[in-house]
Amino acid sequence: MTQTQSSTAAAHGPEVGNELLLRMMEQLVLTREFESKCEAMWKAGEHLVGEYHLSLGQEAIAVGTCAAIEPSDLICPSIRGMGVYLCRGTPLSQLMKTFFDREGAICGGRWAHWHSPVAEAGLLAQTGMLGSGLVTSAGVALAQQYLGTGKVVITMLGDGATNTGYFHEGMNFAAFRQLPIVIIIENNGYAVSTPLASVVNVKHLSSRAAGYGMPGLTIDGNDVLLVYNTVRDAVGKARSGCGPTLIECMTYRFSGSTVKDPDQLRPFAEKEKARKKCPVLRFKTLLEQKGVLAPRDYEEMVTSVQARIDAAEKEAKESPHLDLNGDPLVKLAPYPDRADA
Amino acid sequence: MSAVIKTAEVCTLTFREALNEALRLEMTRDSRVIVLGEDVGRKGGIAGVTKGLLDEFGASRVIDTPISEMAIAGACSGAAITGLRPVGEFYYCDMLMFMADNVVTSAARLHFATGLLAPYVLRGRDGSKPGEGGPHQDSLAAWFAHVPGLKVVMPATPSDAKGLLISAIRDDSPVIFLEQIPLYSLKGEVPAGEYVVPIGKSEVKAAGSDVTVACVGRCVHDALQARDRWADKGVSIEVLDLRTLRPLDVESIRRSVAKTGRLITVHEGWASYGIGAEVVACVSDGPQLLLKAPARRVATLDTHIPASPRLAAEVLPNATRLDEAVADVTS
Repeated sequence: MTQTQSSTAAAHGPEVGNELLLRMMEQLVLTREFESKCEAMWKAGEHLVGEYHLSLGQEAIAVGTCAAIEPSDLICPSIRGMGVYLCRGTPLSQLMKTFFDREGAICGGRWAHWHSPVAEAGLLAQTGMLGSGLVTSAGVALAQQYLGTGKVVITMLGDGATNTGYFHEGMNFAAFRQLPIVIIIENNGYAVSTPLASVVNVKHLSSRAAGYGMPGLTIDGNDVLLVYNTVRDAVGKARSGCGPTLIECMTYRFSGSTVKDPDQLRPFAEKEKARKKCPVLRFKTLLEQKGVLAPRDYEEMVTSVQARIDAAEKEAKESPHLDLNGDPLVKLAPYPDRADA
Repeated sequence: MSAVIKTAEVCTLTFREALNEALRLEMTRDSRVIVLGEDVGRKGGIAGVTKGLLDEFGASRVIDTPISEMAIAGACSGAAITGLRPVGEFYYCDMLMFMADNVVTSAARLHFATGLLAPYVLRGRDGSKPGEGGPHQDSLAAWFAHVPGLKVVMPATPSDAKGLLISAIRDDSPVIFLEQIPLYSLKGEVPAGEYVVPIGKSEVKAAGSDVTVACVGRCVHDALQARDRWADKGVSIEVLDLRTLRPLDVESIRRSVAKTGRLITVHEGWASYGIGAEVVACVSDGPQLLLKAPARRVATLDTHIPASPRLAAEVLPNATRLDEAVADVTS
């Protein structure tokens, strides 16, 4: 059931309206500019909360996926999931406040920004235990199936997380219950420094789907339209009760695993080659060829996005720091108070 | 299930039947309650606790899963976060180690971190198999009682089993519900119908004035037997069944020790950093000095529990070591 799809398949997908094309373009630009800003802030040594797993170079997967699902659907991003937060409408100022440890941070600054749920955006909670998101997402899908909500669950993981025990248990669980879930692998070829090919003996991770009786596809994850069409088909199947699909999106990250990763082990030539396959510029070129986007429109898009990002940063830096005084967290977990006993 | 002898308000049930009744009542009352685990459906559970539920509630609510503890716990928490009240079953307490990441990293801290709730119960067999031996005899209650955000429950009688399981299912926190293996066939009177035992409340199973024996699970019955033995020697033991290990009923423990001035703890699981250690600490933390004699902990010895029942009997908490402890604190 595993098949690889080439770019040409996108051409055969249903016609995508100009409005959606431009929205996807804007989301690609937003993710690219937001993360470039974040990379610069972290590298400048500003005091920021936690690590940051940049998705620069992989933006098409989040953008294409989010465009293919309904606002009411639920999504569990991978640890490299900022694109999903942005596409699902998480306010930029809320993200910036999380980085700068300010009031108004996601979940009051209690959980890592790349793990935090945003309930109103249908974003599910994650943890740093890679692969665990797959089994909790399966549980969320089980609840949708049982309650008959008609919602589909998208769960995303990196290639590294597919080598956990969680992946095996979660894939089988999703398959045997025919859950309304779509599993998306963002395959950037590396688990931190370790090349995927050096630790697995399959060419395509999607071939593993066959072992669970699930369809598995490998696609070019830098082709936003192909991602959109493939996810849309899989979501449609899941919503109509035809069970889960595994979609492996091939991509490459431009930066290290985290902003703190010196990234000295990936070959320079490989990185340079990957930059030439930039998903943002590729889509820009396509839209220009289609006559949907003029060069000036694109520049305006970038400028406007940058202004939003700068405004969010300014708002965050002017907000008060988080303060434990009066925080319900303190009241929630008191060690039994001996003095009162 | 065996015949139920029913009087006006009380039935005589085994521990197993009482748990089954709790599940049936809650599934009838609340359609959000589902049960999942290995062999819970067609077989009725490895200990017979879920017997009959598949026929009564159907395969959408009683789910036979593959041997996938990480997926069972994960599915429970995911379903709980999005509106269900799942009850997951594990075969033995040591399987909780497979489930621990989900319980500790995801579910237990979810409310503190995000304000969301993960109301699910993981329940299953716990502790030793006296006379039978073999592997799977650990009791890891203390591991989970260590974790903020979790509740950990271990009933000792059929009525507590029913009332606490109903409370656990209704609780908004994740609950680890431990059923000690020798107790399943124990019979006792159980209030019929709606019956709730609050989580976090211990119970004095037998009052006494000289020594508090704080105990839990099957060790409650060992403590009651010790109480009879020592009554003949003029020592009055108060048997305090902790029932819930987190949150610990600190107030009641202190009240009992304030009366007796002597404290022994008895439980399965290792003594080091264990249940008894926490009970002793909550007494010694003050503010008043309550103990007239050093406290004693009777627990599983800090070693592997042998498969041989004869050897295991020495390693597990037993009457000999409990008697030594009583002699010690009253000498």
